[in-house]
Amino acid sequence: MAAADLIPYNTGATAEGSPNADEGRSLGGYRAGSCLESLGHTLDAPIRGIVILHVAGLNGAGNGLLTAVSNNSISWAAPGESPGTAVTINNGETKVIKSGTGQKYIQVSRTTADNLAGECTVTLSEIFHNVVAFEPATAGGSTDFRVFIIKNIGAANMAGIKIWIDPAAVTLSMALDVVDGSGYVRDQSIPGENNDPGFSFTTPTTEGGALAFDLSAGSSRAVWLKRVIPGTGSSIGTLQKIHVKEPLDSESLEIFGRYTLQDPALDRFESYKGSDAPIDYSTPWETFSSLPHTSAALAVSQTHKVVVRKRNAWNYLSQNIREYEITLDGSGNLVSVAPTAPLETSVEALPGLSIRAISRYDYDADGTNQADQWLVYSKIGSAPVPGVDTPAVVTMSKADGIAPLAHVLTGYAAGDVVQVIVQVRRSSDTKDSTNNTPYSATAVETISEPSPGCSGVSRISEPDNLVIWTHDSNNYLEVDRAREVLRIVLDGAAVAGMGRGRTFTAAGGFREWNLSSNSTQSADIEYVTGTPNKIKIGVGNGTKTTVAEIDANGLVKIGTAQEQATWPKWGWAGGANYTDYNSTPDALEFSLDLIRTAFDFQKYDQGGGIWNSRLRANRFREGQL
Amino acid sequence: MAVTINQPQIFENSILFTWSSDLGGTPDKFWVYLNGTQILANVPNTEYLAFSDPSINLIIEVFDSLSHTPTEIPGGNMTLCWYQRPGVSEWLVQEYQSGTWETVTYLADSDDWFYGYFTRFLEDGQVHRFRVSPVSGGSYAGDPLEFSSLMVRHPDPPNVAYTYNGATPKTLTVAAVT
Repeated sequence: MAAADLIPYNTGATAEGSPNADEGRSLGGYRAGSCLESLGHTLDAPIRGIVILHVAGLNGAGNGLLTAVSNNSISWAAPGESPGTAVTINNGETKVIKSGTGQKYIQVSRTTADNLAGECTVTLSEIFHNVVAFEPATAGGSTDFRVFIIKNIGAANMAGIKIWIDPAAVTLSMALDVVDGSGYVRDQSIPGENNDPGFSFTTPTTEGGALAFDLSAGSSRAVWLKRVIPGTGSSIGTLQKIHVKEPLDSESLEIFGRYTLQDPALDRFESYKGSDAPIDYSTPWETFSSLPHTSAALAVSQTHKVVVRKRNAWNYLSQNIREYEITLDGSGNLVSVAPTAPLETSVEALPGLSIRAISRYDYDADGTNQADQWLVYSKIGSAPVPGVDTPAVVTMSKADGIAPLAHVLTGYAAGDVVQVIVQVRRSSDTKDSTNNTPYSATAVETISEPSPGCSGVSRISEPDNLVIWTHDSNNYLEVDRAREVLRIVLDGAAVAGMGRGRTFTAAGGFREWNLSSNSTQSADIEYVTGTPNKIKIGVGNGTKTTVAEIDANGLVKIGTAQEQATWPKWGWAGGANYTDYNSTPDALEFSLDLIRTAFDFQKYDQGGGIWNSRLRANRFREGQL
Repeated sequence: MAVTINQPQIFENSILFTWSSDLGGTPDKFWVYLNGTQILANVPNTEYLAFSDPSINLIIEVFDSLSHTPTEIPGGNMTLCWYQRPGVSEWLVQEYQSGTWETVTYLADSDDWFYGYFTRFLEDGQVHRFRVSPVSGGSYAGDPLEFSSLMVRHPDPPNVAYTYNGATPKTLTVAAVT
């Protein structure tokens, strides 16, 4: 005999034991087969054949453990507890399984004769809007009613069962009612949930003052509940709790739920402002119920930052912090904010007496002040003067926060030293960035470089070559579908490639870091602090090779592998050299699904007749998985 | 704790949070929570770079002692759970929208004993209804299980545009972006 034999059920079923999980229909009628649950549950690694029918509220939220102790017995450990005594359960049976202490139990059934096995983590969480908690509420003082049934499922009679309301549930009162032999209690569904069934509702909040009743084995008692909604206020989870205690037990059952209370007056927008100061989020500057909204007057000669947030009827406030910022001069005119300067500007000579200016602009960081045009100033023999000299104006192409520039200047004579300044401009008000740093390169007629190498870099004219991205007719990416190779073509020559199952390989004049030999590496990865910071790898015997640099701005620059002239391979590539680390790892593996990267490629003369190239990763960022 | 919210770094969606302790002495360990979930514990870090879509709330809490409990941040999804039934080949998940049950997905029965389906991110302040129906041979193989819940969470940041009015008085107009 124990309170674990007292199971709470919803009402509102069409016949005793029929399902009704809808608290809104628990207004009398037949006892439902659906238990009045205080805790919801999800299962991790469920025990096949075991169905959880009811979780006693006293278990509390958290992770419990259901364990198959033998082929036909299971035990239950409530959150934070040790397992109770294992209980034998056969196919088709329903049993109450107790945890280590008191009234923390679950009711389960077994639906298969297969042996029970495994451990199942049962995650318990509080339920909103059950029969004890009622439906979501709106402040205003209205009154609702519900009724549930407590049934003695044990084999023994119980006398002096006590029931009272937790002191925290100040909006509840209750009354007892009879349940007939068919499991039926008076039905109030027609008059409706707001109709008083005519009982004398009381609010006992102690065991001493509790209502009391007896239950013979298999019999039931109905408990009517009355909830008076507060006239004002809001809540994301007002607790409603009832205690039920069998006299011989040391602790009570707990039946509880939470309801949300909304206050429509809170449903509004709120603006927050900082004037010549950071925004003060402690107090709204203004509140308003709809959009559009015109603010109060702004003071002149100040910089104002404003954020508009949304508050809902449950008193939750959005947490956005994107600011709108304006600066007003003494007359109240807008002071225009210049876009920030572009990054990583450089210039290089191209074959054919051309100069290419390269740069990058992170437009997102400028928000509403961002630029939309490139200004490329150039002059032979001296630095151009922004605002005096006429720039080439290039429309920006923006994607993923980056606007890249690769602008080719032409028409120079051999030996011309060309100086270039790159700025950005917001065309709407012709506001330019302020940087004036010149970069220079010397125009040349031709640039000699070795022919492309191997590993898919060697380019053979094939009908299966498919251009997949084009910068212009001489600079593009192509896929060799016959060899399953991706190639990078710059200035008409294939300079790098990556084939299925092969390393990324730079050919000829397109390489940066040197592997001193084929097998002089130590087997580790090392981060070396310095200027720049370096990442080194090794694969065998002590020597480590720099494979990437991280500059002071946090930009990662990745090197490419150099061909080893002494290691010819793959005759189809014309006996060219190849790149090999002679051990594992033999490649840096990465997925473009995981890392979104902006690359650019640069060629440079290392000296000594060696042309090198640089693969630079302008930016790494998280990608959407 | 003094936590500073810095404006976007390189990306519009990257927010740098920096902090310092206001406890006496020099506390050198911090606990950091992102939307209610602990992401750093007992670390000396004094900054965290978070990435977030502007339309989604980003709630960072930083503590300099273990005596604090993070705010409970409500999620925006429902998890639908149900037990296996015999003779089912797949499960039809539907959502009630605009007066009709719209198909969300079909889940093949994998002979698991217990199934769970994590819904989409649900709108704040609305009652959302889902149901899961057993299907066999293209026909319903039993009564559906129905799930219903009021979603209460932090509202989405409002999508607004600001316009400065230069006439007297100098004001801002905030309007919804549609």
